[in-house]
Order: sequence, then C-alpha cells, then structure tokens
Amino acid sequence: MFLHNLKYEFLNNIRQKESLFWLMCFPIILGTFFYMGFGKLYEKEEMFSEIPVAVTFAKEDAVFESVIGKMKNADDSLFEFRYADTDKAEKMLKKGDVFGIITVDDEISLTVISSGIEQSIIKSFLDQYKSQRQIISDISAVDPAGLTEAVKALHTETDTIKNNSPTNGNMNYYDMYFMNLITMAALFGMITGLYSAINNQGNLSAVGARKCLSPNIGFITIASSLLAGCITQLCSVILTTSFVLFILKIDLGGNILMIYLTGALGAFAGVSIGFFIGSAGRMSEAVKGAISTSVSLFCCFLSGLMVGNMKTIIEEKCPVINSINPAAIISDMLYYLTIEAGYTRYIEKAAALLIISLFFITGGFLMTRRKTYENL
Amino acid sequence: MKIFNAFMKVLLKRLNSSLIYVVIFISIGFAMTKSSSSEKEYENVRLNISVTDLDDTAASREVIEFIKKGSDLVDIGSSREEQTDALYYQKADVILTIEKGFSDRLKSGETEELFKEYSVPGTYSTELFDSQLNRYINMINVYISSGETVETASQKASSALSAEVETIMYNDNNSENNTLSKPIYFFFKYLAYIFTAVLTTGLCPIILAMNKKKIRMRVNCSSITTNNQLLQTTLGTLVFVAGLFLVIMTAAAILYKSELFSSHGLLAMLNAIVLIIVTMTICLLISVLAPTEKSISMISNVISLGMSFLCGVFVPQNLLGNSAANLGKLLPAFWYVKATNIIGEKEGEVFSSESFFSCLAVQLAFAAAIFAVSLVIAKNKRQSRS
Repeated sequence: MFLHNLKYEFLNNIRQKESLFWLMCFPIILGTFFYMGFGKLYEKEEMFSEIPVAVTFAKEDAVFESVIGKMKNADDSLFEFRYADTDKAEKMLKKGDVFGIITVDDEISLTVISSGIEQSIIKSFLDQYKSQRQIISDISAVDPAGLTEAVKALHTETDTIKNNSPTNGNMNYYDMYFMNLITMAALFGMITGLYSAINNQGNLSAVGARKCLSPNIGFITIASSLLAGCITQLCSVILTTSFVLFILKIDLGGNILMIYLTGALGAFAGVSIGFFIGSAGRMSEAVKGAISTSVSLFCCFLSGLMVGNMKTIIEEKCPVINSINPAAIISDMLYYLTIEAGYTRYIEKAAALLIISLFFITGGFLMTRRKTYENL
Repeated sequence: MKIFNAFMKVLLKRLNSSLIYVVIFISIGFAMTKSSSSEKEYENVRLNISVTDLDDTAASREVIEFIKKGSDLVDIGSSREEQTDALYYQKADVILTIEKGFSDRLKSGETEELFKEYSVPGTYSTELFDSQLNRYINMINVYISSGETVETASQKASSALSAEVETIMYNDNNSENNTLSKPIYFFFKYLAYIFTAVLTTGLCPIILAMNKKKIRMRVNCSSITTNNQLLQTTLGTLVFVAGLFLVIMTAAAILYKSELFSSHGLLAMLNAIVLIIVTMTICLLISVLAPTEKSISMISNVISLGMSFLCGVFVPQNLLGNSAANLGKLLPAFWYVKATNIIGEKEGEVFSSESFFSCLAVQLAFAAAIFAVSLVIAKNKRQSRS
C-alpha cells in the first residue's frame, strides 16, 4: 500500500503544471538571468586588468615621459597610457574609455569623473612619482654625492610581501547568488510539503476527504505522501544544481556529490517546513499556500538571494537569525564546499538543518495524528 | 459605462499586489535619496585592512600608522576560518601580518617578505594595497641608505609619501547642473522593472477577466457597440496607467523636487511615458497569449526579471557580457535604460539629444510592432473560436 500511494502521489505532484513551473523552470530561468547579469561581473569589477588612462602634455617633461615609457613596455604594466590632446582626452573620459586624465604641466594633475578603485590606483602612482621627485631634489640639494645611491634605491623593485590565498576554493563573491538559487530551489519544497499535508486533510481538500474515508493507516498514507514530495523536490534540486554546475559552469568546489547532498538535505528541510505549515491550523489552502511561499522567499531574502550582503548584515546585527534560518544554513553549507575549507563547519550546519527538519516534521505529524471529522 | 465600471471593480479587487510593488519602490527611492550624497569632490578609496603586528617595534607601529592614513583597520578575528570568511564577504580586503624581526631585517637592508598577506590574488584592492606598502618600504630604504636610523627613516618616508598630486573632478561646463543626480537616475532606471512588474501583474488579469467567455458573450449580446466596448476598456486601462504614472511622478516630485522639472528631469519623464506605452502593449500581448490567470504571475516574473537583467536595469549596461548585451538590444527596456544613461551621462554614455530621441523612436517602434502582433493574434484567436 505504501508503494502504491507513493507512486500516485508522485504522479500527482509531477502533473501539477503550475507547481512544476515554480519548482523546476523558475530556478533555471532565474539562474540564466543571474548568469547574464552577474556572470562576468567579478572579472570586470574585481579582477585587476590594465587601467586605461589618458595623458596630455601641456608642457614637456622628459622625466615623466621616460617613466611612463618604461611602464608601457613592462610585462605587467598597471596602466594602458593613451596620449591625447585635452579635448580628445575629455571625450574619452566622458565615454568611460579612460578612468582619468594625467595632465603634465608645471605640476602634474589628475582629472577624474568619479571616485573609485581604478582612480585611486592612478592617483597612488602619481603621488609616488611626486614624492620620489621631491626626495631626489632634496637629496641633490643636501648631499649630491649620495644622489646616485638614492636613485638606485628608489628604482629597486622591492617585493616585501609574501602573498597567500586563504583557500584553494573559489572566492568569487557573486557566485553566492547561485548558491542562494539552489537554496531557493530546495526551499520551494515548502510548496510540495504543504500539498502533501493538505491532500491528507479532509477539511481542506476533496482528495484529503476521500483518504480519510479509506481504511488505510493514516501514518502510512502521510509518510508515503511526504516521501513522494521529497522525491519531487529532489528532482527539482538536482535539475537546478546540474544546470548551475554543468550548463552555467559555476565553480562551487570540487566535491560535486556533497553539493547534491546539500541540495537533498535542503529539499528535505523545505518539505518538512511546508508539511508543518500545511498541518497547522484550519486556514484555507490559499492562505497556507501564501504563507509557505512568503516564508520560503523571506528566508531566501535573508540569506542574500535578492541583496547579496544581507546574510553578512544579519550576522553583524543579529547572528541568531542566521543560525535558525534554513536558507542561510543551506547557503552556508554550499559556501563551505565552494571555498573548500574542510568539513567541520559543514557538518555542524548539516546537523542544525537536520534538527530543524526533524522538528518541523515531528510537529506536522503530531498535528495531523488521530484527526477525526464529524462531517465532511 | 457598464464595462468601464466593471473594469474598475476588478481593478480595485486586484490593486493590492500592484500597490505592494509601488510602496516598496517608493520606500527604496526615499531611503536612497536620504543615504546618497552628491559626489563633488574626489575621495580616495579606503580599503579595509586587518593587521597583526608580531614585531611590535617603533618601526612596525609606524607601518600601522602609515596604513591607517589611507585605509581603515578592521578586526576580523584570528582563526583561518574567520579570515577566509572576512575576505570572501569583503569585510576585509587584505589581512596583513608584520613578521617578527621586521625592524632588524629592515635595518640590515633586507626587504624580501617582511610581511605575510592573505588576500584574494589579482584583485584591484590587493594591487592597490601592495603597491602602496612596497612603495613605503622602498622609501624607508632610501632614507636608510642615506644614513638614517630605521625609526627616523620610517617617519620620514611616511611624511614624504603624504605628498599628493592635485585631483580634479571633471565638470563639463556645457552640462553643468544638467545631468541627473544619482538618486533620480536610479529612480528612473528602476522604473523599467517597476512598470513591467506592476502593469503585468495588475493590468493583465483585468483584461483577462474582461475577456472571459461568459462575460464576453454577455457583452456581445448587449446593445453596446464593439467600438464603445473597446473605448470603455481603453479608458479603464488609461485610468489605471495614468494613475500609476501620477503616483510614481508625485513621489519623484516629493523626493527630487526641482530636479524633476529641470530639462533633463523632464526628458527622463518623457522617456518614462514612452516606456509605459511600450509596457501597455506588452500587457496586451500577454493577455492575448496567456491561457489562464494563474499563468500570468509566471509570465510576469519571467518578463520583468528577464528584461531587467538583460537590459541593464540591475547590472550596468557597460558591465553586461557581450551575449547578454546583444540579446538585450532586442528588448525595449534596453533602449529605455540607454536613454536614461544618456540623460544622466552614466555608464559611458554622453548626452546628445539625437541619440536620446533615437532611443525613444526605437521604443515606439517596439510598441507599434508588439501592438500589431497582439492584434493579429487576437484576430486569429477570434476567427478560430468562431
């Protein structure tokens, strides 16, 4: 009987066209939009590439010209210098083709259209040039004999810093949106869990009323219904995760099996919360549906689906929310896999998620057990 | 005016979902206006740096003082996990450790690996910080080579590096006071999402309800002529659209006051009027195509989010990938955002009335094409039904 129920509950789930759109298609469509919007943002915004800068000479300066000439020919040059007259340079600045204009006159000056990291790097280079010139002129005035030594020291390339990356994993901040997308797909299990509960409640659905009249053991009927919900949700999560990993090729760490396992745990959590909402109270199907959709989306909002740094803000202001928000827990688990930081914290979060799931599923069963109706 | 009244009744019943969008949008616009400051003077970017001083000497403390001048020091914890999280979530740009023996090694002229740094390699922040720190140590070396002690050299290097070149914020005299400030620019830019979301979730279900078979048959057998039916439905639509436009523009007038009525503010308003016309035609097309009322929320979400991502509403147009930008050009919102960029001289666009009006023309061409397609589909549906 269990398997019979399971089969028909599953078939019932995959025949709900509207639910299927939200469970299977919407995460993929949203993922495609995320990819189009944020896919190349990290490379363009964060990763260093030669900064285009215009240079205009109002007065000849052989020293500065030779400095930028040397920098131009260097292999890992910071800047891409473009010589231009004032009008052309201003046009380039306004069009965003260059980040600043270096004007060489009696004094060197920088013109920018806005403040930003690229502009700060240009300014830092010019400040350095100005300081070095100042020092050379000071030393030549005070100690002309030491000038050669000082110039040599100034032009010595120093690498005072031993750089380390904290992890071998992916540090692309924008990939967090894809982790939250998988989280959303998993927590949409609330909708599936909700219908599992409603379809077993005689006062809320015709199917539920029919089931109440059957001689089947209630626990077996509900358990099979829940398992069917979990399987449906698992399919949805597998589809979304595979799309993110293999079509969009987002790097969420090397352990693909663990990524799927995280999705599966998330789907179980989603279904159990939905089951709890469906079992609680006597509100209509529409009201419970609205509650479960709002809860799932609100949890995802708090974990950063809509505003990337939301989870960080909450961690600073009220960290307890992140500890109990299933969406934050799932996205944290995916984050630990992405940065490849070992499994200690992952296991802690997985245990927390399982406890939350068990709490809701037990609550759901307690509310639905031994329910009888005077009339239907 | 029976049809118009019925239209209004359905509209009032469904107004809540549209109102949620409008209220959230206006609240965000209000928060943005309060929090933003106009950028008139150049400001260097201040990085967030976490420093651990293992040397704890006068020279190492001088390094920290030097870092503090251009960056903000942050405390992120000492465990590896906390440091990784801080770098990932951008709470810290660089985590620096001043190694033990820093001062002694500097004295002996050694400059290799005086610091240990955790950072995301290859980023602009790392590049900026590393170059500043290397430059500082280089300068100390110069002073040491000219006979100074490490302590004095550190102080002198720090003060020598405080020399700054003059930095001027570019201000085009021709467009002075004539571009849009950031808050009003973003307000108009996000209208592309809001208009699409509000109109598709608000207007489409009403049109669909008015087109239900039973209602249509009842109206058709009444004495109201087809032209009159069309006129009343159009009037209802216009009331809804004009109401939405007025609410949004009133909010804009309160938030941005005289800036909304400047020449560029009025151009932005004109652009918004054209956008709302295009969105109306999109709603018409959805209503003609949508099989059921339930499917409208799916279509609405896909269209509003899709256009916003592809057309540069959520992500700047100049940062979109080539394929996304090319695909975006096939959608009307792309030209709306481009026109807004032209008025605001943002994202690499320069103001030119010719290019602005070309964008409006492209949007109107989209509206005409979508309207024509909707009419053809509606006619085909009617014929197949009869």
